[in-house]
Amino acid sequence: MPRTVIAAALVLLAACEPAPATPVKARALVLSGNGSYVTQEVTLNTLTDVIHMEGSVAKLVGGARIELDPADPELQGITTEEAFGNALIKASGRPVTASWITKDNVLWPADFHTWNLVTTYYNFEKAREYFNTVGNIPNADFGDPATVYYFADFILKDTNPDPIRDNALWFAPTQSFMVVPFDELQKAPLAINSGIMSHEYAHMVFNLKVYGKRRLPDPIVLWGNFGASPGANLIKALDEGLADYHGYGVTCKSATGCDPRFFRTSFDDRLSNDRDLAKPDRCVDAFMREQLRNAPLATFSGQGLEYKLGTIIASALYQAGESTGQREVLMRSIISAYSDETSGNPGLKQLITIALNNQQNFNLTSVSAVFINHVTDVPLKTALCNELIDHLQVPVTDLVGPGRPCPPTAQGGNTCPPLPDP
Amino acid sequence: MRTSTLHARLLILFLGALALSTPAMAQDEDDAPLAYPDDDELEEDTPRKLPRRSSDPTADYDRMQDESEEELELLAGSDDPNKGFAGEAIVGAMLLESSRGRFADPTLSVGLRFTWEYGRILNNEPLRETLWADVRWMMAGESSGTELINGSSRNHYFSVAPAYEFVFGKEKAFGVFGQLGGGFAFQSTSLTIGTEVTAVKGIKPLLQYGMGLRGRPRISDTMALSFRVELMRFRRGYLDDTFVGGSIGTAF
Repeated sequence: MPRTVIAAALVLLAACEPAPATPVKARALVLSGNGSYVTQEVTLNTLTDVIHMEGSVAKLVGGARIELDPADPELQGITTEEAFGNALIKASGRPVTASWITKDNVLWPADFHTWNLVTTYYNFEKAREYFNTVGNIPNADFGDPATVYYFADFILKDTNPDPIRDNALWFAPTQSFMVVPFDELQKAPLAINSGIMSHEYAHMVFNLKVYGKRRLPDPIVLWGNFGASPGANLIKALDEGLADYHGYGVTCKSATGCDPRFFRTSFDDRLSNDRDLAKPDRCVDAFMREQLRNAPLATFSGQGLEYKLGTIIASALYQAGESTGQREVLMRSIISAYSDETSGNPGLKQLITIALNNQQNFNLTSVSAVFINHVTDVPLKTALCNELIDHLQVPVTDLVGPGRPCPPTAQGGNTCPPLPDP
Repeated sequence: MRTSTLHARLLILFLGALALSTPAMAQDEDDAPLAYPDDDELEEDTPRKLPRRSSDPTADYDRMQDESEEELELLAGSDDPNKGFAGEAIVGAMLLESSRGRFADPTLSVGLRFTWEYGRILNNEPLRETLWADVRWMMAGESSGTELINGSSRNHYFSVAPAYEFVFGKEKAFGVFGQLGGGFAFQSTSLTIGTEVTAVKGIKPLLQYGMGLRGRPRISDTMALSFRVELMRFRRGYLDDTFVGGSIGTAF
């Protein structure tokens, strides 16, 4: 009798845990047509563990603590990047435990964090789908599920001894995402914002393809140590700008359509306007050009110029794609330009290798040429040339002419007043 | 003397009444007078048996002592005016299983509990105050989110849980107990987005187990103060919540 009771109890307990087959139907928070979030049934195609929110795209881990302290004795004497990354993880955390209520075979989150968790996973899945279908990156290239440290304590000791708040990020040294707690941001949590999470996912893809999955990429470590670091400054700006552009690209796959101002549901108007890709008059000005060429990476980043230059780049791409109606073609071309082993048509990764000993060769002209060379459609190529020449203030003669990547019809634009030669 | 005269008259009347009394008129079988057994007859058939005497002089003492204890056990509680019921209000910290992956999400928990010492009906003194059962309701909730999007959830725990207690103290008013029971948990949650509210409700099976300290010091002949300090675990579906707290009430 007792054995029967125990067995029955075990069966009962085992039955308590929802174990739906993939794909999983669940409710998540999705942006609606009127610009506000609503709860909506979504299908999670890759989620295999609904309790611990783990699937082939991501696994969510809670309670972690990551700390970067230059004076940390654990960082001394470390010789490998992997050991460095692991030394930053002071508490590896534990799997999250989603709380569900099952109704009609659909999982309903039973608390706020489960709403946030399921929407986070859904957003990562949509981002993966975008890079797989639009970017033509095979699923196998993404490797193991990405670790997402949910509500982690992330401390950058040299800037602030307290954990960072109100942010979401891809952190290359630990090869993981972080969604940190909100504090002052009281609009939509960042994890719920599909564009923002796709922006972070785009950083991971950039690291995967351009940096070769390096935790401490050469362009940052080698170029960033110089007094003036134009190459490091530019690649940081590229990383941010392309992340914005692909974040926008993912919003185009949603039911509500493209949102070039996707930051607006989470951030204030000032930041949202600063990052609005549809704003047509963004230009590299004299100050930006001077800082790009001469400022050390720390100074450049300290002023947030990588975001400002990145938005100019993303805006130029946006204008080229939208004006020709070739948005997805351009997005695919840009992703294909991340890494290309084809002889005579290097990608960004190969350009970095070429310029590794002289970062001056990694500049707006050479980077523009890489992008343009990966576009085959002539009208699109022309539009892209015009936008880059115009907004990035690249001299026409650098890109147009015999042996140059742009067609002769490309002559730039007249949105941005030409800068005098330095 | 007046008194002697009265007594004498009463005596005559009493004797006269006896002499003149008519035979009983009610002669149904039920009302018929009971006949005394015929002692002669009994003595003739079987000789009277005397209690068997043991050769051990202490045996009778042991027998009497055993009989005395049995009687005490059977009579236990006849001098206890309490009925074996108690009611308590519960308060403490519920360490909710953390959906965000922390060790726990602590929150305030309150509830009510009714206890019945069902060991009293077993006529077994060792079990009399060591077996009891609770009917319990507890509630714990939490809220989180931003001003725009926030969620609030409530868990209601309903359980029935028998317990075994190791009692101690002069009046066995204190004890350490272990408890195992079950029931169900009712969960309700609401997600607010701006002014839109989405509510979800559900029920999950509940397993309860834990231990604690229980006291019932008497405050009057019929009433006792009832209190507990306990560490109780609730397995709510697949989620584990831990309650650390106490309760206070009355037992009667």
